[in-house]
Amino acid sequence: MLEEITRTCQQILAEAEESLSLATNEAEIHQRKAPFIGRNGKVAALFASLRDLEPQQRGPVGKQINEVRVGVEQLVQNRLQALQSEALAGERLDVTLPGRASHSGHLHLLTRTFEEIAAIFVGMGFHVVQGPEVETEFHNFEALNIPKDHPARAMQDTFYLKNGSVLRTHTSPVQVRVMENQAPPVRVICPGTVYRRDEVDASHSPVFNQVEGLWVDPTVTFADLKGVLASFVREFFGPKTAFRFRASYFPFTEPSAELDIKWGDRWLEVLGSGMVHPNVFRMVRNDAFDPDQVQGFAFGMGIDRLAMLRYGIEDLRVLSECDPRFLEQF
Amino acid sequence: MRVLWSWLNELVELDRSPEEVAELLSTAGLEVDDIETSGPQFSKVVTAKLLDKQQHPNADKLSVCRVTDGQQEYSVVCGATNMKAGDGVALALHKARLPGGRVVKRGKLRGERSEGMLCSEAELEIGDDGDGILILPGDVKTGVPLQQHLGLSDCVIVLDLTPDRADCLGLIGVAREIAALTGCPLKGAAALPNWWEPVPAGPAEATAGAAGEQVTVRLEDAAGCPRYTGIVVRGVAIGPSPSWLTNRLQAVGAGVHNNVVDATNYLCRLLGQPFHAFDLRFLRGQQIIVRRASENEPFKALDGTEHTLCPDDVAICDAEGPVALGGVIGGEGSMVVDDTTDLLLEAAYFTPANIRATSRRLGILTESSDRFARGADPRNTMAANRMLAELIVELAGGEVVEPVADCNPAPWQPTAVTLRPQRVPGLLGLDLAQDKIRGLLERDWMRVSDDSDGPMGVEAPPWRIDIEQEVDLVEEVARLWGYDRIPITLPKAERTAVQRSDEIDRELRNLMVSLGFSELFLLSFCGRDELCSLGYDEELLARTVEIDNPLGADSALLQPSLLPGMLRHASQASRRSADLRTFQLRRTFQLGKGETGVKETLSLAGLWMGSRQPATWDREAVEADFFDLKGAVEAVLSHFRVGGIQFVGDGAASVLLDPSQAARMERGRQPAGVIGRIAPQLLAQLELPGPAYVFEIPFGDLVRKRPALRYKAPSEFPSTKRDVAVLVDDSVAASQLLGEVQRAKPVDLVHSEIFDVYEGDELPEGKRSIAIRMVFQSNAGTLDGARVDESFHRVLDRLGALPGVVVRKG
Repeated sequence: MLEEITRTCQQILAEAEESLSLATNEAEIHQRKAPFIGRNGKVAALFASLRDLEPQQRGPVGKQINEVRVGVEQLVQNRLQALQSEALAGERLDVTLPGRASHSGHLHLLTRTFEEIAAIFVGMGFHVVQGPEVETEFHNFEALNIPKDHPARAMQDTFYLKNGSVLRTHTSPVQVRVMENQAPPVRVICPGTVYRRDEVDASHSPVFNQVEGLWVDPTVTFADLKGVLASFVREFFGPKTAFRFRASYFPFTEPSAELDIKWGDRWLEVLGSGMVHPNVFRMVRNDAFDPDQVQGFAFGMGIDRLAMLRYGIEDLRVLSECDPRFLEQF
Repeated sequence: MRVLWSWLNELVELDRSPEEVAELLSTAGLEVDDIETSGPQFSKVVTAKLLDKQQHPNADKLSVCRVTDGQQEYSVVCGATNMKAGDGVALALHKARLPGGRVVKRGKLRGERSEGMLCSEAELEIGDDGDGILILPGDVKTGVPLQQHLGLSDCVIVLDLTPDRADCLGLIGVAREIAALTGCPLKGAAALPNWWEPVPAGPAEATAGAAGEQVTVRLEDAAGCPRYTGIVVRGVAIGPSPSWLTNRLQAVGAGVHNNVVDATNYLCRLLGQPFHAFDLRFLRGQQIIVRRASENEPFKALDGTEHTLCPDDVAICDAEGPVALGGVIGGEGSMVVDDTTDLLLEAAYFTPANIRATSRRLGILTESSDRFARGADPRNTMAANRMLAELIVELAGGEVVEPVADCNPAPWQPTAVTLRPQRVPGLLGLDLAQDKIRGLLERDWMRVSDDSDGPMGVEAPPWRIDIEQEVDLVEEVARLWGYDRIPITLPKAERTAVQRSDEIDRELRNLMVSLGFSELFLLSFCGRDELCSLGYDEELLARTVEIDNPLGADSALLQPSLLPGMLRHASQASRRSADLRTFQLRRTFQLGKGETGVKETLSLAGLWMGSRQPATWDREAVEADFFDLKGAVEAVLSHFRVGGIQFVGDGAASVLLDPSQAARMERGRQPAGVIGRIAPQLLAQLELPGPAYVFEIPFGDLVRKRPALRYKAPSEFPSTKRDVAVLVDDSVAASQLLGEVQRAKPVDLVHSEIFDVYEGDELPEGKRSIAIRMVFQSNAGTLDGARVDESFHRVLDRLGALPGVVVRKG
């Protein structure tokens, strides 16, 4: 009797497996499982036959029959899953097709470069200030210790307007305006477009962009200037960039220095700087800037030039021509 | 300034290479542009000694020589016969390159090993002798490159001088600078004069040359010309200069003329003192009068150009009028010519400011004006003129006729500049003891007052006119100490909240990029013709800002709008890509009030051309239209909380735009921008491939600060919608309907929008149907339907009361 039940159990499982494997959809699976584990199925019949056993045998045998029930349920689940996978396999996406582009614009490289520069100086506590592009001769020249007919005026060929105003040749006049309007200490950078009367070629443009920096307080020194600009060079060009300070001349700074970096095997000029000339403080229409009470440093750099160096652009015109194939690279 | 190395070596005892000197000058502020090498072009040819010479076993006319360069011995087969054991020779080593590109190689000649070549003068192109090899003294130092041994190598260090270093426009100035930086001794013309010794005052009027035929020099304008010296030289023969002189002049970039003129140019470059030589025959009245030119006085320069002088100019005159424009250029009538025999040599000191004014006004830039404009050495004038006279006599014969005229009524005197020693560490952050500071200044040829502590009186030599105040001395100390030896520190400062005036600009740029626009950075010029071709009329043009000295007519105006530039760009860029979505945030300019007479506006402009969505593998492209661009503009306005902007479609937006698809933007009654489709005739003119839409708003005027942001809790209660469709005449604008909805002030209305517009066959001609959705919601509770209906019907009543509007359904 017991052996017969065991044999029947194995038989049910084998039959169920064979029958279910022929099912091709979910309904058919349910149809096909009924003869086995339905209300009147073979498993139910087996359970019914438990009554004919000795009470002490009912437990283990009942357990055995229950395993058959679980086994068939499992077969049903397996078949259902198999059918689902087969169905999905038929409608699978070709995930290698390109996505639909969501269109995003691009910041101009000059903006990006200025942001990189600004982030460094803002981190050192510099404010950002802007000024007019059309300037008075006073702000562009006289206030910066460049009197009329001074040879230094020839250093920067100037665009004049009919009314005698000038297109600013540098962002330095913004320094002057800042000092006219606030008391020391001053810590500003001044970005902006500047103009010089140069024909367009690979390294010249009549319109380009600068960032000016100014720090004025009672004690800031040339050594501090070196420190601030050294930090800038290391952050902007990389921590291992070699640099040097070279004596130079600007009418509005004394001592004046050019900062060179080692780029490949050459020294390249990247910015001009120096201690604010006392004459500049004297010219400021603000008594708070008495050259015996305050001192400061200033620096100026070309954003276009730094962008070219940093991103390997050899022709300045690339920046102003704005070919779409240039724009989309940044 | 071109510094000829061999010439420089006559002025300072140098112990380093041209490259090292160039590096030194560069870091000290005399920027080196280039080092140009000159001299014979060969390499790996060294001095060597002939140890012995054997007959070549296989060739009658050859010998086998054993030579040494001091390091090792070489066997060299040679065809010459003019050498003997013990002679010095020029040995070209393996791989030596000879002039003309020939390369010497190790090898066998008729079976004998030859490891180099013994060279002749002709082979090295250093002389004409090609018959035998070059024989050097037997005690020659071996192994030395031949150029170096013969002193043949030369080079020119090209300096890009800053305007302050007038002294270095003379070679002696460069030599003195190098000596100050290195401690190498000066010699020759650079040797230091006792410049601190006073020069006796001279008269304002003096004579030059022997009595009876003397020239009278009268200095009337001591302000414009503090010192004027004249020397008479008689009996010169004008002719060509010797080659040593012409070689040098050519090397430093000066022209070659004749011996007298060349002498003046040569000494000008050596001393930094410009000269002028007059032919005495042409000085009418045998006089020189130095005076201011009178108003409109005519002057013809030696290059034939005619000028009109004014009282800013210093005129050098004879009895009848100007013969030279002082310090700038000589006159045509009095210059040295081929048959000149008697000279008056002029050396003077002109006041820099006058020379600058004259040079700039007349547009004349000469070697002379450049030097005087920056400042010559006012103490050396007579000594320089004496040197010139001597050189001319040497080159052209003749003799100096004493006396010489030296009009020097107010001689140069050193002025002491006070240096407080604590200013050096105070300004530089470099701790230097006072004696160190003193040492550096004295090395720089300055005189420092006394030895006590405390303020130092420092006198700079007369050629250093750039030393005017204390800070100039601090810079000299820094320069001579070396910028690289100044410490690197970070300033001590309190951290303050950083303010950025560009923070709105940055936010806007990022917003535009996220809306799909790429940023342009175009030049800010445009041309009158360009604007006219775009349809600008005289009224618009009259407000544009014109440049007085533009580079060209097409860049003579400052852009009154960003759009012309962006259209120019689109015209170019459309050849690369039919889809373009660009923006600029830049200044625009028009005439205005204020100190510069120009109003600058920070404008935002955008251009959209081509697709909103490009074609993909499953969809067609969707072309962008007016409302795509308007949506972007509205996104910007809404981001910055700019309210109250009206879009007015009355066809009067801009000459650039198609009146049927364009709007003026207004806030209050103020213009606030334009938007629309580029006019069809412009599309063709600009060769744009399809419709393009643009906008421009005076962003800086509309947005002055970032909106204050504050959280508003969303309602937790459900919202209720009501839709209405109205049939309207074409003359009724959608904005009128929405405005009317607002004016009805419906209670709890949180949003209203137009969700459908229909015009077509089912509607009468000239009518369209517009559907409006209203959303009601309260923060206080769920809305009562009856109350919403009450509000809704009030809206419907108002809409229905508008002329040309019929409410279709509610």
